[in-house]
Amino acid sequence: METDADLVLAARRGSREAFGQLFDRHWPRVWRAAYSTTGERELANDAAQDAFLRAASALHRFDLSRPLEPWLVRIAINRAVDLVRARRRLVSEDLADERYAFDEPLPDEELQEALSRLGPERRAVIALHYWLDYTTPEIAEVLGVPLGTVNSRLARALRDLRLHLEARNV
Amino acid sequence: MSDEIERRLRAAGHRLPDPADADTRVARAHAVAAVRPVRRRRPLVLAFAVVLAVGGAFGVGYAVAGNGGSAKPVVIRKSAALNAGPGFLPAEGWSIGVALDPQSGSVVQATATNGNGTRIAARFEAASVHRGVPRGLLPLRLPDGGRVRTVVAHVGATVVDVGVTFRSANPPVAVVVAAREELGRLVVPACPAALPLAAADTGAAKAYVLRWLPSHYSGDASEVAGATATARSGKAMPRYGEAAADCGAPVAARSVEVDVVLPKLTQISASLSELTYFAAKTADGWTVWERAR
Repeated sequence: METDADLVLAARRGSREAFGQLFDRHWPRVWRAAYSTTGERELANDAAQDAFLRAASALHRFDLSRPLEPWLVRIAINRAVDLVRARRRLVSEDLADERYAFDEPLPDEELQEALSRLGPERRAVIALHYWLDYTTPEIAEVLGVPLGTVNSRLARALRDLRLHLEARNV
Repeated sequence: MSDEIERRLRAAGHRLPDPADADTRVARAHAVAAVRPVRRRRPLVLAFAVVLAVGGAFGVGYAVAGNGGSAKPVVIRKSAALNAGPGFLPAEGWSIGVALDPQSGSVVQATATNGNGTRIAARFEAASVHRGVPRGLLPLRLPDGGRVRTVVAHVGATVVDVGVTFRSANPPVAVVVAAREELGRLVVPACPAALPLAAADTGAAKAYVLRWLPSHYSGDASEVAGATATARSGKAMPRYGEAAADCGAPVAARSVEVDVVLPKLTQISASLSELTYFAAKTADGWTVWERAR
């Protein structure tokens, strides 16, 4: 099987077949990263598709010595966070009760309720770590933030989840 | 408890949905179609001054929002706008500003403040990002009651989200009337009366956008030097769905998506160097009706 780097090289030369293979290989996880952040299929579709469109036009900038997926995930999550932020109302007073529900409910309803209260950045960290199995240094690289920021976002997200679940006594 | 939460999180991750096959096919088709042979560019070393200049320009716009109002109107218009609007029309006693949101690159924020301590902030964003917002008509109606009043409507291709903040919870009638009148001066770009496209129009739209860009670009004009573009029309547009959500399928089918690359900025940021516009041919000629990103 050809490596990602081989396919990127071919795509740089204009091979759509090679880029199609890259798409098939990475689309599901990139999409899940976007969906985990937005909670909405439509926004996830937009964010994930945008990641591949941007990648297609920026292949010449990609460092072949590095893995491709984190690059795609990074673009998708940044776009997903932008899309979620864009839904926020202009007047900050109205944001207090804003929640980010999932289009398709998780089986664990209490956990979903708690997750819906997290902002998109913290949800992205949770998704990358627990759902896509990224290590915290990998998350730092994907999100382009210091490792300490990832650790604090993760700790705060877990704290918020714990507080919410304890308050519901479940 | 944390161990338990982590266990529940991992379990939830196994139940995440998969992307729909139809969505995957559409995304794949667009992604694959976007592949072009890449010419090697000479590395560009751009001074941070470029970024600072862009940031500074936005900063000026935002500075107006925070000045609390003055008797003399101040008009600052960054050409983030399309062929017309969005923003507030100038009026005596109101200081107005409009700027691109640097976070998104496509969201426009406009403010109007006056000496009574009234602040009106309007956020304009492509309607496709806020699907489901009911259509509204201008002038927007100022809601009754409260220090902070908000109104959201889908007008033209745009969802406009307005927050009106008064100095007190019970502002005098004259202050409310002044705010209502200022709300009436809100300009929102309209959807174009798009004409059918001929085969050569995709190229014509691309050429038009590249000519139009230097006078409407919100950053330093030198950044658009050497801009290149690709264009696709109607249902072949990668962002056809966005265009249809913004202005309806008939307009989207008669629109051209022009994706612009600013080579001077490619080394700095993909989001700064890649711009996307929707253009349409009208009885008055070409018009750019939305910046999609």
